[in-house]
Amino acid sequence: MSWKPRVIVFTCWCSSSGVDQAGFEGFTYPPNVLTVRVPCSAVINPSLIVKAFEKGADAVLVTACRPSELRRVAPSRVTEARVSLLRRLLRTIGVEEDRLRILWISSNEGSLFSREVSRILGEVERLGPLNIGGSMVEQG
Amino acid sequence: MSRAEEELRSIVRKLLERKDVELVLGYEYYGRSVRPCFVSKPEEVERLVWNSDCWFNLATYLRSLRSRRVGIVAKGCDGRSIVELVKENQVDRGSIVVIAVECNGVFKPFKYGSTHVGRRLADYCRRCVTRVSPVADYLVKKGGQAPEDENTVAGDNASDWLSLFRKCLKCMACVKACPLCYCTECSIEGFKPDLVHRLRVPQELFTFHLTRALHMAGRCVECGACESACPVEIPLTRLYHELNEWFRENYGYAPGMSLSEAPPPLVFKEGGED
Amino acid sequence: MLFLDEDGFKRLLEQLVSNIRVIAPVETDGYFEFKTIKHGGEASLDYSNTRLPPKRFFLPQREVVFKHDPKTRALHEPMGGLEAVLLGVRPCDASALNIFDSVLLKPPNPDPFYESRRRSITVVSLSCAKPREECFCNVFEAGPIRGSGEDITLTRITGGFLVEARSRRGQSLVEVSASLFEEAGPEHLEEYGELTCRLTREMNSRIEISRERLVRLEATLDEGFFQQAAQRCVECSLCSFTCPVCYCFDTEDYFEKNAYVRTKGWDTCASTLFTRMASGLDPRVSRVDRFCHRFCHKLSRIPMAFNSFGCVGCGRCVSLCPVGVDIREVLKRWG
Repeated sequence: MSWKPRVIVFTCWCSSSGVDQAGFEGFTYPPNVLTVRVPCSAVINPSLIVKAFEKGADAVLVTACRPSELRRVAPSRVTEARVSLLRRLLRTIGVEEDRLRILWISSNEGSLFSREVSRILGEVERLGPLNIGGSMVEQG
Repeated sequence: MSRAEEELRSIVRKLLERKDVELVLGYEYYGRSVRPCFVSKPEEVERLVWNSDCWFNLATYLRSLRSRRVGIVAKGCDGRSIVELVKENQVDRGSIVVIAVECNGVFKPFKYGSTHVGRRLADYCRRCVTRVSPVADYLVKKGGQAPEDENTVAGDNASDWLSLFRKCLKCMACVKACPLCYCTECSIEGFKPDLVHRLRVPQELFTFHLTRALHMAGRCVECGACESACPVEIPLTRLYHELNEWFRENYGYAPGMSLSEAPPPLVFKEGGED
Repeated sequence: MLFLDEDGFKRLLEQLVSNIRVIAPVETDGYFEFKTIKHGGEASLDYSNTRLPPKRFFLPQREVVFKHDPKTRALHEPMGGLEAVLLGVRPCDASALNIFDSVLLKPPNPDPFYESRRRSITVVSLSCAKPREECFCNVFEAGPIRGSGEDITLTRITGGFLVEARSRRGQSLVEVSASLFEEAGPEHLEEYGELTCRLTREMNSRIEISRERLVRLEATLDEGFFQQAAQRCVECSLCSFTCPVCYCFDTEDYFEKNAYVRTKGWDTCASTLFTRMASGLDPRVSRVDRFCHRFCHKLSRIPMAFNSFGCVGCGRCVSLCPVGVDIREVLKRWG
């Protein structure tokens, strides 16, 4: 059986309607992409992203509102900073940092979402399986 | 006894005799090693020592002594952690007397079953930026002899972190030795079992260590207490150092350097265009 | 007693490795750790002691007690235990197994997981030639030459090892390769006697205490002393996790991959969660209480209930404790 990467997408309230939009407009994205809707991208505890990797995600995407479209810019910037910090952490411990991405998705950008997700999925497929959970348990 | 030790003792004796403080946190000998000690009487001052074996960060005890007036012997990094604790409203600067000691770096502690014979300068001391505490009420100059380092090669920087994490026993020594890990309900100790359960070792060690790293990012003063306390010697400070580097690059901020500098997450500004 | 020369030992090791899983101390990054070895050369016997005790081979840090599939209603109880030889355990760590036996195998409810592992692992101890400075095994008669839980005791003397089979299992292991052993000569026995004398004297000069007084530790508790000592403790659980004797465990139930799983894993009395009940009530609420409990349990309650001390004097907690909490201070004061 060919390996398919498992991708967790944390979507904020607005960008989750962008993800829905993809469905309405007939754009497709692969079934191994699982979305988790949260009220705002800034409430995503970075530990949960780490947990997602531990539980077997090969990549994690965070979709957030475009900072230019927000009345207050901070929430998306907070997320951006966190993701950047987390990418640094992943790089340090030897996990490819491209497994964690942030995407700016507005509520009407279904096509952009499906396009980007497919592209990222292709990249993750090239990186290969991560399998953090398995490598932690294995006897050294 | 070195001159620095003599000076330290006379300062502590004076403080205790004048009843400026109830208690002084310092170091004492036991066997070959040095451990923290609590001096509350002027005649006990002779127990105090100061040398390159004093690796433990005494600021760890400050929070549990909050209601009392305490003096503390502080190296450069200990002083930085006091600054962080004051900034985070965990201790009252007015109730502690900081006796800063100039530090030339500390040795790695002797560990059970180690085959290393020589003393080695701790890795984190090679990255040290403050030899003297940024806050000080008294200053003891020329503390501790310059450590004679047999191993001049810096620690190996590339290593397989996952296999290092796998060695972890999750004994929580890193958390408990850390002055800045003061949460009464620690999210990685098991109070929040959905994130990290106490018993799921080694399954959840990845989340355990990365969560701790994230909680220390931009706060860790790199005193190395966690690394030296670790029974299996996971070089944790190196991991936290990387995250501090991120803060330095992006915000020009280093934790614990001054009392007036607010941590970046606290003063996060809306900014920039996308 | 039998004698085994260096060459014979190498041949014995090769024989064992080819027949059975052999776990022996291997040097990694300046420390010794117990690992399964593939060939005899990997094992190194010039170690003071391994950093971590061999406890995890008998009580793994985490093990599955059972799995239950709600659909098929099948109950799966994994019962572990590969046949293995654990080579090069120091007498103190081997004595810890004796304490496990008296606690965990006590009728009427022996621990089946421990029992199966204990049955399948043959323990070969190697006596200490140079006790570490933290060691105090003489206090609990757990060394430095002979422990009490091993199947075979090896003692290094000039030119080889003295071999003493201490159990039926040990005897049979010796009999399998009987041709390698020879009867120990008087010169060997003489050296053994001298070694025992010297080491016992050396250990006794460090610390010697009265065990009868020690058992009364809890009854004659001096809270002032413990309050002083506990001040220093930061309540990490390093001491219990690196202790060869600490056997407390906790269980956890959860649902994973379509099955209910119950696991059991190491727990520690240093943790604030150890005695906290569902209601939030905690009978050991302060740091001093928990600190006291550790010593009272090891030195007073276990001996009263099981007739052997809960400490073997390996010195790990003394050496590894980040803040220098020293069990020898308690011993010296009450012993």
